[in-house]
Amino acid sequence: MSDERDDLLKEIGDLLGVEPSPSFAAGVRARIASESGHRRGWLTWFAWAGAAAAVAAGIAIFSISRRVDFSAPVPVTTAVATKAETPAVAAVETRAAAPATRLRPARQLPSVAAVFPTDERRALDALLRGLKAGRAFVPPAASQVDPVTGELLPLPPVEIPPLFPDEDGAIRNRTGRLPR
Amino acid sequence: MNEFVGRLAGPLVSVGEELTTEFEARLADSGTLAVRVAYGVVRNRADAEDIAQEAFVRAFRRFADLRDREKFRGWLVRMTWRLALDFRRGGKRRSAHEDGAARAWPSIGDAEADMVATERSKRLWAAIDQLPGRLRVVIVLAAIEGHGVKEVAALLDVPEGTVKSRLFDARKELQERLR
Repeated sequence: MSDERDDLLKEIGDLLGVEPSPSFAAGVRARIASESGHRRGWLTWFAWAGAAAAVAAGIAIFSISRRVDFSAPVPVTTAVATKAETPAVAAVETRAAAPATRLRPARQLPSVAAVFPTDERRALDALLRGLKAGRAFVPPAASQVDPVTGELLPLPPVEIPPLFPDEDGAIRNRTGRLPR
Repeated sequence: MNEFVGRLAGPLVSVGEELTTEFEARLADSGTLAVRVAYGVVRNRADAEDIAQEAFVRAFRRFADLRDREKFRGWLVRMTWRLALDFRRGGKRRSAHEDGAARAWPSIGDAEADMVATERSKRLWAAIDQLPGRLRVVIVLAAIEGHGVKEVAALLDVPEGTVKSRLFDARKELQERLR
């Protein structure tokens, strides 16, 4: 390596001979500290966001579980579809007739579709038609009136006798064989 | 319970303190090197300090992998050089170059001599700037703190032969441009 070249390197070294300011190391420490604080801030933010999401989910679940409260004793009216060409199943809509004190208004309750077997649907159709036409059979006990108050008397308890299958496969009770 | 937590956290705290102490030592040891490397690219003291500080912050993030002194210095030099190049390419220069302002020799109070020295510095910087990047980094590192070929090779993580040939080419080009 020639002296001239050594001089060149020395000259460049002189040009690059800057010294860091006295606050250089403090600046590095401050930057590291602020970055750590920034990261801690992010972690805190994530923790708060997670907690908020959990609370929101809890409120949503509570709200939904209150709205769909099928177990509550809600007075209902039943409307049965009576079209002749109705297929094998009929949809029945159940709605609250009057707002219960601890329930929402009826329009906010969900409608429930129930499926009836064909024979039960026909029986219900016949009953409704008979009631409309005044041909429906009403047991005498159900129409007895208190002579003093004029109100309907309470119905006696209904007793259903036990049923037995006989050797022919028919169903019978104590009084005899039931019609098929 | 507190005793158990204290016993568990004790070694962690001492490891953290040990790392911090080591990092402080590296900061004291390599701070000037990082500032000079950055200055070799941006030629502005304040910008060079900013860049070197950023390089140290990045080094701190992965200091667990960089505890070895030589490994740390090499990584720091390469990171500082890259950051400085990005800074210069991004046009984020804070103020004008300080051509000649950083020269270490004292002013002799002769205005004419000062002017000649400043002119020489400008020419030298211009010649360095015109070097290809792979030659420029070698000549800058060789000029800083009197690094030899072996040290430059370790800092750049390249073979010594590569450093030798690049240093030769860089000197040759500089000589030609300064003639």
